[in-house]
Parts: sequence; structure tokens; C-alpha cells
Amino acid sequence: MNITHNIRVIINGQTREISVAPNETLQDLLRYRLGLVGTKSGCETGDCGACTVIVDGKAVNSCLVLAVESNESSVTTIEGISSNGELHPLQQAFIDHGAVQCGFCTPGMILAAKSLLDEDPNANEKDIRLALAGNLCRCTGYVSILKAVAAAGKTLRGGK
Amino acid sequence: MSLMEKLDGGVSLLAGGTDLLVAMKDGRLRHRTLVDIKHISNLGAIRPEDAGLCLGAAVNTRTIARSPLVKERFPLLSQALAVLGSMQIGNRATIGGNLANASPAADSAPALLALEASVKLVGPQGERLVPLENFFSGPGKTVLERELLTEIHVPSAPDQGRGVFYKLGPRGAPEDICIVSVAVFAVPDASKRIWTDVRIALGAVAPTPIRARNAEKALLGQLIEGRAVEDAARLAAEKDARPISDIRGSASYRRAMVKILVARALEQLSER
Amino acid sequence: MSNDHKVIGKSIPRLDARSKVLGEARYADDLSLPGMLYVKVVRSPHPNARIRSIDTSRARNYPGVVSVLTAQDIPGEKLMGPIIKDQPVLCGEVVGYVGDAVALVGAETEQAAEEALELIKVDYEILAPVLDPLKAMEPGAPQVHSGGNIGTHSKVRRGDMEAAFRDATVVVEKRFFYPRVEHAYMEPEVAVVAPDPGGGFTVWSSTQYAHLDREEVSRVLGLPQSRVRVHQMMTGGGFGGKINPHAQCLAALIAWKAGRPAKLRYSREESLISSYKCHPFVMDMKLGANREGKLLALEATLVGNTGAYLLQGKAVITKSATHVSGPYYIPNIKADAYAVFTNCVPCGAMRGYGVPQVTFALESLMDELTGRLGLDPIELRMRNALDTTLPNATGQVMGASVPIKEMLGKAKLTMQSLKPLLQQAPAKGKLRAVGVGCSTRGIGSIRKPSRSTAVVSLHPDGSATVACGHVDLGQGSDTMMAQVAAEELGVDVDRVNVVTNDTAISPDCESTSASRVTYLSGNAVRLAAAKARQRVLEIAAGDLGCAPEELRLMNGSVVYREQGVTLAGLFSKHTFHSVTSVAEFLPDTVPPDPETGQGRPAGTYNFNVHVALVEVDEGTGQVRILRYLALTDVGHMINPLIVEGQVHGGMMMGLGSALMEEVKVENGVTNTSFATYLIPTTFDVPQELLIDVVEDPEPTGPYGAKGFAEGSLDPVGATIANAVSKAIGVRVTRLPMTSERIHELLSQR
Repeated sequence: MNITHNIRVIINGQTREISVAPNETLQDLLRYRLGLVGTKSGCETGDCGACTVIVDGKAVNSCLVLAVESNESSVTTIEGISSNGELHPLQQAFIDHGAVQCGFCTPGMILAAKSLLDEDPNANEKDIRLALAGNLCRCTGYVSILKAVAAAGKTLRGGK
Repeated sequence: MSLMEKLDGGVSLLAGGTDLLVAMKDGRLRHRTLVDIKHISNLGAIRPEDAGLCLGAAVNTRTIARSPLVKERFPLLSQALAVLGSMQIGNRATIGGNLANASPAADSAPALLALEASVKLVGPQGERLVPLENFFSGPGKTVLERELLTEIHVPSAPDQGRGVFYKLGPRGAPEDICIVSVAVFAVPDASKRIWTDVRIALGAVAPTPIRARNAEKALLGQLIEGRAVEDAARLAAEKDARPISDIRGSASYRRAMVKILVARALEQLSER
Repeated sequence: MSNDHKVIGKSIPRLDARSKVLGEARYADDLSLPGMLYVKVVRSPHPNARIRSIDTSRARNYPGVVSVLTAQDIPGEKLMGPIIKDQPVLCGEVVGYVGDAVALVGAETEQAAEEALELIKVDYEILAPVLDPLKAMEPGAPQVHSGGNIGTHSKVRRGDMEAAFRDATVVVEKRFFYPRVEHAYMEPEVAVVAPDPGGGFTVWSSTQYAHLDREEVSRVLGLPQSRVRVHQMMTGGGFGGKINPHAQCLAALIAWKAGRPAKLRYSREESLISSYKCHPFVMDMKLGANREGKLLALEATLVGNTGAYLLQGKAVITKSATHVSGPYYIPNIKADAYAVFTNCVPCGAMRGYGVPQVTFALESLMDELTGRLGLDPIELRMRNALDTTLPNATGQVMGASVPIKEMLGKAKLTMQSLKPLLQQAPAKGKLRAVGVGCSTRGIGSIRKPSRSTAVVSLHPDGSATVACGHVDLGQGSDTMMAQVAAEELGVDVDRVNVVTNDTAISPDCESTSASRVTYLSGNAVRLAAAKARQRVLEIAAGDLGCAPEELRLMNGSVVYREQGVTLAGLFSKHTFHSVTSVAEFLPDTVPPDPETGQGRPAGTYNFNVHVALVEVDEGTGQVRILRYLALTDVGHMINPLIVEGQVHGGMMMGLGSALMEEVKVENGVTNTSFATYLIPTTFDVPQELLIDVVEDPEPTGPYGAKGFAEGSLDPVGATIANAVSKAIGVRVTRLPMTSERIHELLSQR
């Protein structure tokens, strides 16, 4: 029995109508069918955060969301936060502060940070640590990441 | 309900998916039909109810943790749900799902037990309200019989009551599965010298989350400053907790931690 | 050291950072080729068993399945390994551990491959496993392999142990345990292999050593190495764990059998269960000193559980033995290090490679001595620290860049500055203490010489291409090479293209490991770039009628006093299209003698001194790190931002083994996800983590630089353990220091 569901989802601002299998995860849909490979697959069990995307304003592990569940939702991936080659302040801050090494945790980390700063522009160091606790990184030791997010927050607040 | 009856036997309810999908990927659940219950009306709301709250089962745990209403009325619950999991998990996990999954280590349970919450179950035979303490029947098992958990009722608590939640995890990170968790909600009398009502709930030290009734008994009517705290902590560890050893910790360490954390919680509440 | 360099010493953002933050960097799993098959692996559920039969008939007929393979189908060599080739590509007769590969399925979809896996029936004759390395060493123990359970035995012999211990006023002796650690790179193993029209194969992989991918894939397929080309894709971390190209060989077999591209990506669970780990060590160490605290003798027996196959076991054990005395001069040493076979998951290279293990044991005993001698921890270490005249465990005298005493002095100041925090009345039930830990490490392979080769091409427009075989895993080596070439050739860094990821272009330099890349390839690139520059200047000098020394190369022109001639002009006159030079760097070393461990095995050594202020919860046993200082000896910083990143990362990885990481094996690995194998999170970063870089130039290093990538991890476990031991008043002898273990030690007081 090959059931499929037709869903309508807005990905990085673009509306798409797609037919998905019931057991297809949002991560599978993004990476393997839509070619949006910026979202990474690190564990597929919601433990590492590499697959983080923003759905309806909230950061989620796309490996634990079924594609069908994103029907009528708005999804933002790493490909969707820069505009016309101009980097989002978080992306720029990550470069400037050396917060990128192997880069595998980076898309998920940036999106998690973005969702935090969108929700809470005045997030302090404690808030940032808590919000990013679900994004594992093995290369950087997190120090430069925490600095980059704090710096981006300041930029987004107009430099304060 | 009728849909569930039709599909009976191969159905799983899908709320946040944070436990369900992991179980499916693990092979523990196969070829299930999933019924997505997130959009059923009224399951997604937080409503004041007299001086208490009614939480829709499909509300995300992080939403509850950050809700000003919850912070104001039941800071203990807000505190516990803030460390239920990572931000990403908390944005999907639902309070109903966390309870229905019935892990002995469920992070929402101790606080809700300490607040004497009840759950509303809706099934083919009708509705019933079950005290949370009677909801869990074993590890991963509940009293649900082809029913849907629709609401969690948290009754109003005495004004002078205060609560505290400790989650002892291997890292202290919110996504840690706890080694031991302790939620205490205590009400002193008007003079603040005697405990009139103490609820102690423990997680990960028994087949289900539990109330430490032996410990509680030892505190009622006792002086807040006194040996009662020591006795209660000891009873909680020796009589109430029935921990096992697993990959996160040994049974003896868990017992020792129950004693320490219950004592600390009571001391902290005594100081306020 | 004055920095009159244009580019060296500058914190240039890493060259690939932009592509990574945009999500444009391409990792192996991002690749999809037309007609690509998905590969899944049948793995043994038993630690020790004979394979009676494998029935693949039902799997072969499953819809979507194109190929099914077992060991008998392998066209070439059936054994692989980075040093000793003792690991079966697919097990034919015997499985050696839970997770050992037994059969392969290649199918049109991942789902079909997964479903077909379950239809493969393997009939095992289950045998009793050997899981404890100490038991495996006992006479009469069941043999894991026919050659016996000792995979390798490395020795250090120097001096007269009996006399030395007799003369010692104080002798301390203990047994220490260092855990089995998982690399936990965020990107699990992935390989894509496709047949070429000409009969060769192309591999795209997540790897630390593309040329070993080439070697192993060609061996397994029975082809000459020249017929296999490997592209290292952007690699999401390695840390030593992506040197052995097992996934590459398995994917290649399906590609070969089916005549189609094939992708194998390990699930995280599969990676946690079956990929090789860091050796757990059981270490018996005995240290003797005289009344003044001069170390006289060190005796050590080091047992590394190498699991079912040796992999880099020989080299890890040799490294641990040759580093047994750490950064101190100890005249009399007897060390015996063993890699022991068991039916546990195999262990091989991991950042540290034996040094974190021995450092933990030695530094703990040093602190035991301070207690017995009434000396402070810094003073004891000062009295024994190496300098430019004293020999290390291998007898090597470094001659230059041995700044450990200076670093100990700085550590002392830090420890003094932390006193107020110690004396401040801590919260009830919290114990605070400060600990110190030091280490040293030889850069490059110890057992045999390590070399690097680089090719630099200078183009007419002044831009350049650098080809070198050490791959970038995220540690920033490509950027380092670009900086070196840019400095030598007088161009901007963004006009240098570094190609390290293609075996057809990049020369084989051995693996990116052993903290070797800056020292070896930094030098090779510098030499090759200098050669290219020299050649150009000589040609120009001929034209201009002057000496090459009077000329400078700058931004695509040769500059002579007020004049300049463009490279384009110069080249076209002499019919060059580019000037290409090759250079090799091989430090002058002598491998350690197999009987005594003596030699001159490394071109340079890196030193580290760390200080930690910890707070222990007396009730729960939880350990928190309040302040941490990592003093790091780098010779000279090529890129300060990158140096910082490496030290933070190494420190936090070390913190993991110190406090929470342990791969547990009961038959097989039991931590099968990141929910049960716990690595540090943002919550575990110390309140304050400081780095102090010491620059005492290494004369043989590029611009004075040396390696330090592992050095930042080596002393972490020791440092934190020393602080915790001080805080609780009981010696920690086993890592990780989980709260339960510390609670147990506290209850022994």
C-alpha cells in the first residue's frame, strides 16, 4: 500500500506543493528530495541538533518531524536566511569569531540561535547557553559560538 | 474516537513525535498508522481555571515553561519544563505526550504530581478525570484504554505554598535523561513554623514517577526547622524510592541522591 | 617575537567559512549521482562467533535490491588496516566483535536496502568472548587471534631501575584507568563510489586520508592504485576516527558488483557500535623521587585494549610508551606497553593517541609526590622539567623551543590569582580546589619518519595554486597553507587556491593526524613556494641584470627598485604559463629502538600546562569547572583565531573524557545514541576558559611554528583530576569522573 499525502508548505518563502510518504521526515524531504542539503543529518534521533530548521517560528529537529506535519507551515532552512548573497548577522558573526570549523553543526547552530534571537532579542549569555544546549559541536568547544551569537544579538539590537 | 475504533490495533497517536519517531526509527514500533492529534481543538490551549490551570494535552512543553500565566501561578511547573529537553525538543514535545509516554524519568511528572494534577481521559465510553498519581501503571504504561488524554488540570495551590524542582543529570544539560529528579511543593502554616501540607514527588527511582508518601507523612505537623527534614529525606530514599541500576546510575547512588536532594529541597523551602 | 609578516600571524577568517555558514559546503552525503544505489551492512550481533553459513537468497530477490555481497565475492584483498592489515573487509569465517561487517546489500532505495538486510540469515556458532584485556593477557586465556592476544609490545629501557628505586626517598605507586572514548564527529561516516567509464573508480568520502582510501579501495577491488581517484568531500570532523576507510571499501564493493554508483552512510547508531574508538588503558605506574623532589625512576606497565583488530594499536602503544615520562627528565625508566586483543570494538587513532592516558597517570602520581614531599605542585614540576639540554623518555634532547619552565611560571601566577576564589567561603556543601597538569608530545609519527610534499604553481596573474595531501577536517589547515603560500609569494590570501582533497592532484603526505600538518606541510608549502619564487626571481634577475636577492615578488609583479615587471610579461617572454615547484620536508629523525625506545623520533615537541579551579558538590559528587587556563606552546602562531579554536575544542574534548565520556562494552557497545554516549554541551563550558599562547620559536618549523592540535587535549583529564582529587582529599584513579564515581570516593573519606 503506497499512500502519499499532498502537502502545501512554504519553504524559505517559496510555496511548494509536494506529495510525501507518511514516514518521510521533514529532514528527508529537505535533503533528499528538495536538494536543500544545507540541513545536516547527524544522528536522526533528535540528540545532536544538526538538522535544526525553523518551523512556524520555532526551532525544531527536522529528523523528528514528519513531512506531513509541516502541511500549511512555514519552514526556514539555512539556505533561507541570507538575502541576495548578503549574510545574516549571525552568519557574519560566526565567520568573524572563528565559530566555524568543520561546519557540520553550523547550519543547525545558526538556525537555533536565530530562533532564539527572534524570540528574545535581549537574550543574555545564560539564555544563549540554554537555547543552544541541544546543538552539539565537537570541534569548537562552543566558546567562539557563544561569543558569535552574543555579538550577532548586539548587531541586531542596533549595536547595543 | 470513531477513527481510532476503526483502526484499532495498529494505531499510535502522534503529538510532538519526539518519543514516537525515535521508537519508530529504532524498530520498536512498526507499520503503525499514526493519528495526528495536534490540531484537535482545545488540546492546544493553556486556560486559567479558578486559581489553577487547564493545560491542553497538545501544548508544547516549552510553551508552558515560558508562559507568563504558568510562571505566575505555578513557577515549579515552569522550572521543571524548562529543563525537560533541548529547545528543539521542547518546541515539539507536548505535555500530554510526555505523560502518556510514561517514562519513569518523565520530567513533567514530578512537578505535576507535587501540584496534585489530574488528567482528563476521553474514550468510547465517555470521559473520566484521573489523579495523575493513578495514571501511571508501570514503566511506559498508563491506565489509558483506547482513550485520549485531552487535558491536565492543575488545581489551585495554597498561597503560601512554594515549590522547587531538582533534576540530577549526567551533564546538567536540559536534554539529559535524569538520574534522579525531585519536585517538592510545601505549604507552611500562617506562622511559618510548621508544615501543613508537603508533597514530594520523585522521578527515575521507581517503575513510575511517584509521590514519596512515607516522607510526606513524617513532615506533616512538624516544625520546619528540625530533624524532620533528615527523617523525611531518609524515608524517601529508603521506603519510597525503589530504584534500579541502569546505564545512567546504580540503584544505591540513586537512593543516596534521593536522600540528598529531598533534604536540599526541603531546606531550600524552609529558608524562604 | 616581532611580526613583520604580511599574512603570517594574522587572524584571517578561514577560507571555507562562508560556504559553511551558507550551507553551501558539500559533504559526502550531500552527493547524489544518477542511478545511485544505497548500501546497508549486515553486522554481527555477537562478539565472538564462527560463521557457519550466510543465506542471502531472499534478500537477492527482494524488490529494489540490485546486489548482495559476502566475503567470498571480494575480488581483491580481504583484509585491510592503516598499519597492519588484519581487519576483514567482510567477515568470512569468524566475527571478532559486535558490529563486525558480514554482508552487504545495495538497493535502489535506502528503505529497500534496510528491509532486505533483515532477510539475510547468518548462522553463527557462538563462542565465548574475551572482553577483559588483563584476563586476555593471562596464560591460558582464550585466543582472539591465532597469533596470541598481545598485538604489540613497546618498551622503554634506560638506566638502572633497582638502584634508582633504592635511592629514592619517596615512592608512589598506583593503578589508573582511562576510558574508551568515541570520536563523536558530528558527521557520521559516508562514502560514495562510482565506476568510471575507463574501468577505474572514483570515491567521494568523509576522510582524513584520501590516499589511504585510494590504497584500500584499489586493494579490495584488485586494481592498481592509479585506477582509483578519491575526492575528500568537506569532512565533518575526524579526530583520528576517519583514517580507516572501511565505509569506502564497502561502498566500492557494491559499485564494482553492480556497475553503478553506490552510497554508504552509517547511521549514528552504526557508527557508535562499529567504528573504532580510542584505546582504554589500564596503567600501573611507580614513581620514585629523592628528598629534594628530583625524579629518579619511573616504572610503568600500560595495557591498551585494542579490541578485535590492531588498526593503529602498534603506533598508539609506542607513542604512549615513548611519552611515559611526560615533560620531565627522569634518568631511569622502564616502560612496557601492550596492545591487547579482545572481542571488544576495535580501537585505533584518536586525538591524543596514548598521550592523554599516560599523562593522567603520571600527573596524578606527581601530585601524590607533592603531598609526600611537602612541595607545591608547580615547584615539584619545575625541578624536573625538561629544557633544551635534557633528554626525554626516548633520549632525545630538543635543543630549542622547550618553554615548559616559563609556562609553569605562568601557571604559578594563575594559581596564586585564584587563591581568593578558593578562600572565599564556598556555598554549603561545595569543595573547591585548584589543580595543574602538564604534557608534552612529539609532532608527527613516532614509529617512523613523517614527511610532507607540496606543489606550488605560480600563475601569470600572481595567483597561485597549492597542492598538498594533508586534508582539512575543519581545523583550518587549508587556510594555514594559503597563508604560508601567500606570504612567500607576496600575494593576498584569497588569490591562493589550496587543493588538498584530490588524490589525482594532491601528493600523498600520510594522514591528517599526529598534530603534524602545520609543521610538516607548513614547511613543505613554504619550501615549495620559496622555490617557485626563487625560480621566478632568477629569471627576472637575468633580464634585469641584477642579483635575485635585490628583487621582491609582490602582487603579481617582480619589483626592482622603482621598476617592476609583471609576471605575465616575464612569463610570456620566457614562454612559461605557470612556474611550478615541488618540495618535500622530512625532519631529521631516528625512530625509537624496539628494545629500548631510545632514538630521536620527532622534529619538534609541543608542551602544555593547564590549570583548573573546580567545585565539587559534596552531596551529589558533581564536578563543575569554574576557571580553566590552557597554556599552549605553539612556537609561532600562523593564525591566532584558528589557534584559539583548536585549543578550545581540544580542551572541551578532554573535558568530555574527564567528566562524562565512556564507551561501555557488554558484549557490544551499549551507548548506541547521543542520549547514552554523552559529550559536552554549551552547559559544560567552564565559566571562564582562558588561553595563553606561548611563542618560543621552533627553529625547524615554518616561521617558528609547531603543532599543538592534540596538545590542547593531552593534559585536560590529568588537570581536572588533580583539582578534584585535591578538593575531595582522595586520589582519583579512574576517568571519567562521573558524579556517581566521585560520590563513591567521597564516601570513602
